[in-house]
Amino acid sequence: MNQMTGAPPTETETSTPKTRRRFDPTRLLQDQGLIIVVLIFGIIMASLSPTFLTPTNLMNLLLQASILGIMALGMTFVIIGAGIDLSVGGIPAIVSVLTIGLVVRQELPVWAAIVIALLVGVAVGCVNGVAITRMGIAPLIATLGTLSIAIGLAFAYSGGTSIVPVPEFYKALRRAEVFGIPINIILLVVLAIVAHLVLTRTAFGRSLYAVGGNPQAAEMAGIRVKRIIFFTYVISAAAAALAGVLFTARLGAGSPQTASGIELTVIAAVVIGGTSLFGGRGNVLGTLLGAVLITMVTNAINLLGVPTAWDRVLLGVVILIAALIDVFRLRLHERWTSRKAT
Amino acid sequence: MGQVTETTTRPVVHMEGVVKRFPGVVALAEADLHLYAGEVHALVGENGAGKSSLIKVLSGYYTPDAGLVEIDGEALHHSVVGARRQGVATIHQERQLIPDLTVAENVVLPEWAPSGVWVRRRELQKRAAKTLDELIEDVDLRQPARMLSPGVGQLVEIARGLAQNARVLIFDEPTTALSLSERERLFETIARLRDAGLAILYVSHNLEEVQRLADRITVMRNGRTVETGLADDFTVQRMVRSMVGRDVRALPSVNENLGETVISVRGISRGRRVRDVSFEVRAGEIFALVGLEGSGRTEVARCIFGVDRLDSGEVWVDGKKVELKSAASGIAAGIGLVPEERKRDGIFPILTVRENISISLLDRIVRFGVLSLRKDRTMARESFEALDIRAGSTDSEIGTLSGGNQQKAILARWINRGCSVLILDEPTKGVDVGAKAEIYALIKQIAERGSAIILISSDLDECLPVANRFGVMRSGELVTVLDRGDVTKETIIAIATGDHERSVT
Repeated sequence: MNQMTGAPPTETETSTPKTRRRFDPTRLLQDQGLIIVVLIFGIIMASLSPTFLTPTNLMNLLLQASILGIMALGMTFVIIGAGIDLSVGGIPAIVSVLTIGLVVRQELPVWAAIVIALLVGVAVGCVNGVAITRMGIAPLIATLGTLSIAIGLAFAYSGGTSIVPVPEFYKALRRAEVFGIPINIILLVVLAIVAHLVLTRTAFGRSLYAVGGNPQAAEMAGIRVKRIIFFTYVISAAAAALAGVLFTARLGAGSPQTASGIELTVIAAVVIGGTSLFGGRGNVLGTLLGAVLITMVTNAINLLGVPTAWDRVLLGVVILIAALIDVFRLRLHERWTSRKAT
Repeated sequence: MGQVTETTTRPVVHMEGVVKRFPGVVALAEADLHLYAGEVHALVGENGAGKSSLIKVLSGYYTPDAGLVEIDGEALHHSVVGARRQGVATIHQERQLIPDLTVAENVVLPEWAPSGVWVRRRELQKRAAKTLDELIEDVDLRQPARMLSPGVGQLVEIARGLAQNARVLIFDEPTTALSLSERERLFETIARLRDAGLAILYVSHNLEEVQRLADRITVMRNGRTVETGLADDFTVQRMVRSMVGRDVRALPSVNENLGETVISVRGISRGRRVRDVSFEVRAGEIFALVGLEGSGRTEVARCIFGVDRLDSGEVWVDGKKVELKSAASGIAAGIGLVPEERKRDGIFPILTVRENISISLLDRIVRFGVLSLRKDRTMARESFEALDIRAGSTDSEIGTLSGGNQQKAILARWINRGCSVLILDEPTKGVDVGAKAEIYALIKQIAERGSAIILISSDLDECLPVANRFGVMRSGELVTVLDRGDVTKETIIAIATGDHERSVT
């Protein structure tokens, strides 16, 4: 017995393999214990505030969760690969000032400004990827550096102030709907489906879990580890850049302060969603729920008329509770399986 | 050998009817163990037989569900601290020293300041020196434990046990990380501790080691202690039969039906560990690369596979020169490698067995960028049947499987891929006796299907019967290649050691 966790082969083991699992109600809990937290929080809110369950508020909540959710989807890739990306706190700022500034000051067409701004955002991801995979700089440090550079460039370009006026396109973007559903929510759902398929149904996704789970073994299995890691930072940066455009539409200005400090909230959403900071574990549904839960906290503060300063305190409490439930559901699952075995 | 009879003395450790259950498995079902002062008592059994669980109960790590555990007639306090106070110390397979504390600090761990708050360095060193001096000469007490070789580190761990007034020392696979000379020193130390009156429980896979060292032997199978007796009454054969509960299949004989040359290694060098190594292996042939640990065998494998860059030399596979830049390029050229350090380089512990099997074959089950989960599942199911992989299901996490089953899953990777050349580095390391024979049978099957096999093994008894030729390495050089007919264990050892007095166990 070399490994401590090794389950000793006994008579209970079968040599005939089964591909389908037997139904196990704790399985859902094990995979998505967060659903419970979100539901309980929702029930409490519904009983405290009559406006909580109104369609307007729920739609509003989703709308608020959408941009955070999009960024968190990108971050999920990075963290499954056992990395971390702080630079997403700076990418929206530089994207925001460029999208407006290039139109107002350099008189480029709106589409060209957006394309250039997005490319600059993605370039930050490329720099992260190169710094981490080619130069061997620790992800935390590398992205801390690019975070600072991105924000600094945004301030330098804008002169420290918001750039106005925003072109008509952004007003239209803010109001855009498909079948009565705001475009941001549609974008989130579409991107979530794509992210889910990439993670579960492509060679890249499978390799990413392997790289995050054991990078040395991944190398030996013939996976191009550095390339995979590089792309996770590009994906995360692209998501943050897109978020920058959406933020700009919502704020109605190209501001170097856009999404300032959001990096920790994005990471919190991913981690609350069950993605392991050690890499190798995580999924899209968890990340979405994490983003929704975080937004619910802010929403609750608004609805209940609590001073907004408290939302960080409440958010902290929710993070701890979510982590606690995580511990608890694993135990529950163990108990269930042991009851079945005897 | 210490002379102990069950009737004359009271055992230091008295375990009876110990039961430990886990969700889904019974780790210990009625285990008994009597351990006497002044004996080396070996505990043997296949992986999963319950050895680790028994040790963990005795060291207070697990609380048993039923049964009696007494130390010197007193019930064992079921906690790690409690067991330590009662005189049980464990020397683990993996090093348990704290790397950045000094040797002295590690020895007295965790009682750095027995009389208050302040750590007095000189007194601490004096206390450490007292126990350490009995075990080893001239070790610098002030150097960090990180700097120690595995063998010395282990002696420091033993000293830690002695400093805690241990009367029972448990050794869990202590020789895995040791060189030959370190092994010898450990055996001498254990004998000395036995003569000094300690009770020693020695857990090992290496049955020859056990036979050499132990006074008495207890065999475990399926969570039960099935047999205890004097070591003199046991042969390796009898231990194996008792462990497996059936006769182990004899190792397969060699394949005489060889084809064309598949791989040709021409003068490869890398640093000091690989020096101008050349050899060829034909289709269907098993070429054993033997030599002492550290002689460069693993490094040769890594170079051929592409993980380590060559300084010079060429590798040709199927008549084409291979551009070796990474493992991926080796795989593309038709080379597979089953690495020695399975946990570090082989498996993805939190992925499923299915995902572990298909990870090197994703290009084969992908269509237009999308994985075929159906092909993935089918492949896993077929591999389970063909290789007799035992696990709850193909979707169990591979980390929960025994070493032998993990190794079969890694073999399944390369069998499904179909390699021209398969390199196996210590394929039976950490694998139990029953699975060893199965793995060798599989290797032979792969050879018969036309692959060229490069087999690296430290266990000459294992690779002598299966290999067609033997390349003996010493200090990074391939000294000789011997044909099957010219080989005995003694000739290989003599060449590998360069006529030093050391011997391969």
